[in-house]
Amino acid sequence: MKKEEVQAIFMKILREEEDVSAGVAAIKTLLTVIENYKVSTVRELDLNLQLAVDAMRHCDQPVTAISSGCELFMRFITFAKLDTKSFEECEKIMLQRGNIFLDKLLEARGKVAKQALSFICDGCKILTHSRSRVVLQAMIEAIKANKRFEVFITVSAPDNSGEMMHKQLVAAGVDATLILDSAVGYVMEQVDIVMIGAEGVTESGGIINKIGTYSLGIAALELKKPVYVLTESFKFSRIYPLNQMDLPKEFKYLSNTLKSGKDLSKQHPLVDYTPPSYITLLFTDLGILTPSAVSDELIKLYL
Amino acid sequence: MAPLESLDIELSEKHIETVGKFVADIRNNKLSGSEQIAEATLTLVEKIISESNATARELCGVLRAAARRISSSLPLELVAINMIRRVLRAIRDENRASVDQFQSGEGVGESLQGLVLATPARHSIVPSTDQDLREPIRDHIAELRTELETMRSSITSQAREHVRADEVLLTFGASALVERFLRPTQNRNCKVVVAEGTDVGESHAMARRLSNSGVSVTVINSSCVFAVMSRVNKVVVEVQAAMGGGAVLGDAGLHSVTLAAKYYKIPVVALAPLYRMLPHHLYDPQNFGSLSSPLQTMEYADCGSDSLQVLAPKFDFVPPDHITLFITNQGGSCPSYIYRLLSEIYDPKDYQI
Amino acid sequence: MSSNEIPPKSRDEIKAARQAKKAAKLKVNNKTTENPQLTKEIENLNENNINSKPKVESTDEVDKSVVINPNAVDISTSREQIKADRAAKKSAKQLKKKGAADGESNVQSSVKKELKEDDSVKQNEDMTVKDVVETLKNIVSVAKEVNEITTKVSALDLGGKKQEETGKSKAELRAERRAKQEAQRAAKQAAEKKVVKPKLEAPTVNVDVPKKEEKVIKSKTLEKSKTKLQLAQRFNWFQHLYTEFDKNPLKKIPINSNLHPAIVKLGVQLSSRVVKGSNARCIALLDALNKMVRDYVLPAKTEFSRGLESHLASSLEFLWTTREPCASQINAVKFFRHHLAQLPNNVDEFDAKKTLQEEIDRYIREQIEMAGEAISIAVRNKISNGDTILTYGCSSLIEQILCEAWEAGLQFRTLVVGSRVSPDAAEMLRRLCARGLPCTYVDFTAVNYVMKTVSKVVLGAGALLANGAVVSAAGTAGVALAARARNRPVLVACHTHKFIDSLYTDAFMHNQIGDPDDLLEKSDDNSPLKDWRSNLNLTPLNLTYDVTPPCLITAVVTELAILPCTSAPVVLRFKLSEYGV
Repeated sequence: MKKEEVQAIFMKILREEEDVSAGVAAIKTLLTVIENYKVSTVRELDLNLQLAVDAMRHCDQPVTAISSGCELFMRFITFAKLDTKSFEECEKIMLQRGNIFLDKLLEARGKVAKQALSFICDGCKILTHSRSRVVLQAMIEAIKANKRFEVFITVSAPDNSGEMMHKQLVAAGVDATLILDSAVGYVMEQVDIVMIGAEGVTESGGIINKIGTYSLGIAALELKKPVYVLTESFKFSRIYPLNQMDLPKEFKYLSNTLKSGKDLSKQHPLVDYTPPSYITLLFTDLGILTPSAVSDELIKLYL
Repeated sequence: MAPLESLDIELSEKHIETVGKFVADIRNNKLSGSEQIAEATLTLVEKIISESNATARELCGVLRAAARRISSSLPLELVAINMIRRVLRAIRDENRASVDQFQSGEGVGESLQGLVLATPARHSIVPSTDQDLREPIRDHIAELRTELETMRSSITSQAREHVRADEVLLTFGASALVERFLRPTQNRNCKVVVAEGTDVGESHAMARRLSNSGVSVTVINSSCVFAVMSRVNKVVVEVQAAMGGGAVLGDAGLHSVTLAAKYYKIPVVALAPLYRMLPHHLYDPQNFGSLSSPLQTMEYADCGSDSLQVLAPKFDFVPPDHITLFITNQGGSCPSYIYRLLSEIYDPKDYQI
Repeated sequence: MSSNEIPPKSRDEIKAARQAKKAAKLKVNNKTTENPQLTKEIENLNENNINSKPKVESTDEVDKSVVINPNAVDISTSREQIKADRAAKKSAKQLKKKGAADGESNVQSSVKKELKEDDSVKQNEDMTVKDVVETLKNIVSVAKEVNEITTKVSALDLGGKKQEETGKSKAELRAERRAKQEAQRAAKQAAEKKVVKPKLEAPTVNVDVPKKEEKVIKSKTLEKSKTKLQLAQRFNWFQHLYTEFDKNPLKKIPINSNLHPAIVKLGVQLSSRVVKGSNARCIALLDALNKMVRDYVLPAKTEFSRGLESHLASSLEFLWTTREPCASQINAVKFFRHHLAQLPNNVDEFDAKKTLQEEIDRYIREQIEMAGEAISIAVRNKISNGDTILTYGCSSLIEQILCEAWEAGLQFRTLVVGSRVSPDAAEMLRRLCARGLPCTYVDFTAVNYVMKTVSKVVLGAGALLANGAVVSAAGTAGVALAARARNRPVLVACHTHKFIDSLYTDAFMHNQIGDPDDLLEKSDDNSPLKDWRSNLNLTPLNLTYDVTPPCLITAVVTELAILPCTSAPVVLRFKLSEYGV
């Protein structure tokens, strides 16, 4: 199995299924790896999967979601290994469970969107940042439920993903306004709630998300607006950043940038870390959690 | 086996009558005070259970229907619904135990662990047994009753730890629980400041009773709370409901008190017996923003013009960062841990009745 | 009601007594033991000589706080008294060592003897005119000391702790108790005797039940030191302020005073809260001063300004006893005095009066009326159509602002927040409704509930302090806090004549206690607080003022400019240079 093949599969999934986030695509890739690349021992399988994960990390895609999703999947696989005797059986069970796991993850977005629905009241103004499929789905659900609300969406440089979100929102019938990233403070006093997605949720209960989220959180706290984070549970990861500098480099910069050996302090980071004190509630498929509950979940899983 | 959750049972005539009587009692103030209502709810539940089918499915369905009926007649009666939720949790637990399901760690509901340990059987809906669960449920209800009886003493005994000598304590509004909490403080030479709540007569009566039992009491109007707050050491209040996330629903005017306490960085201790735990996160303006009679604010005769509007809200929503500590039957807990308590006493399926 | 002039004879007596006392004091100061000092200081009073051992800190503290101003009239007997007491003490000590109860009876007899003298002496006292307030203070201090001893004794029993000597015999304890009862009885008698005469000192007390008076004196005694004696006292944070709400100011006026009737009228109006609100009080004061100046008759051989100044001083003294002055009144008086002082030495009486009256009129016109108009226009610019403006309590300036804005055509809704205890907000509501403004009224407890619908908060001020804090009706700070919690701008409309140079950090340093009975529910005849006076543990507290810290206020609107709160000292400096006040 070659790195490039894995990467090709990964990129293909990302291209073809627009709706799928990087994390889910990564898990799908791993499942495909198990299916297609037949091996005879558990150890070989392990190696394959690790290689695959490594390959995906060097794909010039945001690494945060990939890394947490894959870690969870690996854990999942580990649990599967223990019960069975023969390797073929093991593989079969793994595939089965893998598909269950994937199904659950695909359902997650719907669950989150439903929970967020009750927090979008009639006449409220929502501020959101960059492009998040979960937030988009939540808003589409709200439109279907005939709620009237207004959305402010930041442009979100450098990739201007906010513009795409704006297009999608308008297409769905939402009253959306595109604002500059720097206008967040100005707009904040008019909005009622802030709703954002997350690329990763840290053990502290904080989130890692597109750059600009931290500033948004600070402005919201100052003006006493609640910040709601909509995220699926597979994005929970075990890292615990102490500050912005403490974030792993792979998360902040693309793999190409890291490889090219440029001076990282002069590069623009892609993500930032928002500490838990700026977040009011997290909406996940496991329920509505306070930031302190995130660590509880992770502990239950890993310890 | 039939699934446990997706059941919408209509209440039988008998049950409608029982529930109706319960609601009428509350409306006519025959049951006053949350403790009495909680006990009466348990009695109601026992009655309903003994008169319906014994399967878990039936029981859950009937109780949920009863709860829906109560909440539609008395949308602000949170204690009764909470008690029913607890019984529902007991039923579901019993059901799970008897079906011998694979327990995925502590607590029910989803968890990451559950996700990862997914087995095909776990994935499907929990089936319902056909066993007669009435006996174990009755035991559970008896346990709940004992818990109610000991609730007072367990909460007030914690007063000893939290109230030091020579402290000035502030309380808001009238509450029997807070009164009992404060009574032993006279041994510690504490002073109590009672800020009048919306029910002025009750607050005054409580102040008087406290003073008669030896505690030094100062009575102030709620508008003076900020002025005296700098001298206060602790604020002790009872809340109407403790919500998920640690937010609190209290009597109107509580938010002003906690704002002043936050300004002076004074700890706010909220007494919340377990029947006050509400599994909602959101301040629902429709229900919790309800208004009570404007008469308590202003006499009709005093109103100058026709276009005058007089508002008197019932509740006040206090965000979690204003509360320092919750004291429940089971001990103290900080606001960020309330979600844990909720997951222990209620089943997530019952959050929305 | 009022008293007669003291015959000169007793005044001399008093002076002589005082001097003798001073001498006695010096003599005693050479002693090192505490007990003689104790005796000396509290002569003629109930003395409990049981505790021959020096008592712990509490006694000392109390002693230190006691005003050493013994009853002047009793000085003549002081020396003998001291000797007698000392002798009694010695004997008590010796007897105590033997463990006999005789010492107690000895003490008791000496106590009784003292009492008798006390009574006879006291009957000679007459009530004094206001300029002999010292004698009044003596009476007060005597009463204080009487009760102090009582409380000390009771504290000794109650507290026990360090004060209790180990190994006391039962007999001794019994004797102690007996002596304590005697002391208390004596104190009560002494107090009752005093009550026969009307009281004139400020803060005054209702001449009702002796019991009540005793309790009031008790609560005034322990000023700052919160010792174990507090067990027997009413808990009161505001002991440094008036503790009893007086409703009858006319008692304070001596019969032969030459106060102008306008001043007296104003005093009554202030005391009964007919005139309230800083602007109203200021204008009323200036009006009364105007009349006073107009009718002032200059005595012969006195310079106009000096004569008027002393007359003014006496008038103001009376007025301030009816109600503490507010910032606007203090500044108005400063202004008046400034102009009075600036009158040339040999000015003609008629001219002087004319000048002063003109100055007063000008002050009212410029500082109050024109300033009010300017502020109204400034705030009007900040109100937009569709706004909801929240205000608290009653302020004539805010009423002017809102009514003028409404009449100018702005469409907005007013939300008046009131407190159950004071009728101000209801009054404000009435006035606004009468002018046709759409209003909503809520109680203070609903402030957070309505805040989400509010666009701006506009508040009135009683005074603006040098650090930018706003002194206003109790509850204003709570409203500002709620507004800040929702990020609503808070505007305070304040004339510059209300800016004062003081600095308080909280509402305790300087406040006014309102009528505690206002807290009782009027509609309820059987209010649980009805007999709070007889219950030492229960105190309704009705604060009048509140200090809002500058961080909660967005802007202060004055006639000079819209300022941030922290620029208050700048305005003060400016005023100083302009008006010399």
